Amino acid sequence: MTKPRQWIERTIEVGLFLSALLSVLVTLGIVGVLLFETVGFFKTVPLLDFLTDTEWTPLFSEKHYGILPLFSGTFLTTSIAMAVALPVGLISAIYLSEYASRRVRTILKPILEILAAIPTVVYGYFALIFVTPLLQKVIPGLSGFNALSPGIVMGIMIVPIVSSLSEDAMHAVPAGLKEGGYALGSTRLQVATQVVLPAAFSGVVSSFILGISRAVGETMIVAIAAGLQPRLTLNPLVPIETVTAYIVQVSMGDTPTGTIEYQTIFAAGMSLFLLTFVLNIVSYLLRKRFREVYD
Amino acid sequence: MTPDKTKALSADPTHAMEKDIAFKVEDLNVYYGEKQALKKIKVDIPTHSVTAIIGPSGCGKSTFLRCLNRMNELLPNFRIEGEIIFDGQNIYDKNVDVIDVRQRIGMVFQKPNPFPKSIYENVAYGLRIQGIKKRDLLDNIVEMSLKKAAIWDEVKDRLAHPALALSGGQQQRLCIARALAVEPEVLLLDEPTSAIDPIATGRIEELLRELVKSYTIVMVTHNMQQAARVSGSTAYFLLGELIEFDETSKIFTNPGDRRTEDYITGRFG
Ligand SMILES: Nc1ncnc2c1ncn2[C@@H]1O[C@H](COP(=O)(O)OP(=O)(O)O)[C@@H](O)[C@H]1O
Ligand SMILES: [Mg+2]
Repeated sequence: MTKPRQWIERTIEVGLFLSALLSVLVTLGIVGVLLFETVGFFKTVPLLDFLTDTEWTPLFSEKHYGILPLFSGTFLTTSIAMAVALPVGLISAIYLSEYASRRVRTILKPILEILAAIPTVVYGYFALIFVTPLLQKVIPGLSGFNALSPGIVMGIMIVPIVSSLSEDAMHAVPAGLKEGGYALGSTRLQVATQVVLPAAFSGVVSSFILGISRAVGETMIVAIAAGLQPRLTLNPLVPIETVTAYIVQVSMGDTPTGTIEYQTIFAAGMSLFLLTFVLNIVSYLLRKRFREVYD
Repeated sequence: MTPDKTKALSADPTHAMEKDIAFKVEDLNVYYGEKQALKKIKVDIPTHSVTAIIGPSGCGKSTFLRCLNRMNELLPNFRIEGEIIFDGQNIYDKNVDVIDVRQRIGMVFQKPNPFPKSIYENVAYGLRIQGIKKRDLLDNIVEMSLKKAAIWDEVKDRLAHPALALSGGQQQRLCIARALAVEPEVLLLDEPTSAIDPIATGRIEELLRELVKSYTIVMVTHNMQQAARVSGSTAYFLLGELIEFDETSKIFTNPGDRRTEDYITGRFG
């Protein structure tokens, strides 16, 4: 009687396990390829040069392999993006979760989420041909390619990531906790900032870190609007290049497999991978540290 | 069930009705959308006494209690008619500040709801939002409130610990301390012991007997022995109506209404 059913259950279980195994294997494969090529790269370029040289010119005749200029580019655009996305995303989340009526929320939330669905190439050209000229009217010294404009546009793109996840976390705060705040004579703003926000802290921080990961990994916007010029600087007004933009730049060219130029992509990619990996770990630790238990 | 009359709380139960009035409720009608939750409630709630609100589930006890400090307004479909006079003024008057109402009329909920902050910060919360920053003043009030709520001895060595690490009964007393810290005149409690164990319940009842010397207390309870043990007067609600309001001793020994008698003798509810 129960034999066929058990057999079906078993098949489903094995099927699910194989799917899970597949994604693990793919991940391991990617890391493996990254590692393999990166090791090849470091056979030619000393690690110390990679970490301390202040120039990145693998495609020129006078070659330098210092990752710092690319990292400074990524750091710059990410910081600008987060300076936009954090406050705007958090304020939107507070508004949506604590102030907006249910009707307003059901309309506004999907609209906001559309921002995340726009292809990044569109954002890239938006930054290049709309935002940059606009900024140039206010900032005379701004180059046609710069970190500021794509940073801001990237921030706009990331707003829904921050607001949506933060809002979910704030929405999950038990109503009883908010009532406790109101019963002590809190205003809405006080309940939002001093009861709801601290209670949703781990979720809000996760949304921040996810936003940062997104900014670090973003490629198209910076490749189009930031200039493809590796430069060790924190000046947002001049052309720069990010790690991701460099990878796409080389991939689009006709660099032969196995050459040192080709391997630079993997070294850069490996650095990027390590960076986002660390961010994920930080996010995990913070979530664990600040998770509040509600039954 | 035979309620123990000797344990009734009011200092002088036979004169409970002659005490000063804390809330004068006049023709109170409350609606949630189309549904009427309270019908023509008229009652005078005495000061410095524990008033118990009893009745079967869904009869409007919580609704009534939450009208007394305007907590119901947070619900989108809530509508109210009538007056609740507190300190000579209708608390639903347009020129009354709801923040002020809630500071003067504190509330403790059914499920303990400490904030995910330290024990100290929970009690200090109500003061901080009023802009009080002076450390020694905060320290003083926090200590005093925790003492009034009879939990000081248990937490004085770990004020910086998270409140959520306390037991349910301790959390509820912490919530009482938190409410007392803003120096309210009235304490509203909605089934404050229904989520905690009998020993913790005993401690809270003991605490209420102490607090009633300085506060007006209105308490919803599911537990009729509890009403008999701690309250001076009792209101019996049924289907949104106030069936009977009288001294607790009278309600439990000689109720004036057949429906009250049915309820307290356990024939119903
Ligand atoms: N937020 C609400 N929206 C709609 N109806 C409600 C709401 N809260 C309570 N009610 C209804 O009002 C009536 C009284 O509820 P309540 O005051 O919670 O009763 P009690 O505390 O006596 O159990 C119930 O029928 C309940 O379903
Ligand atoms: Mg109730």
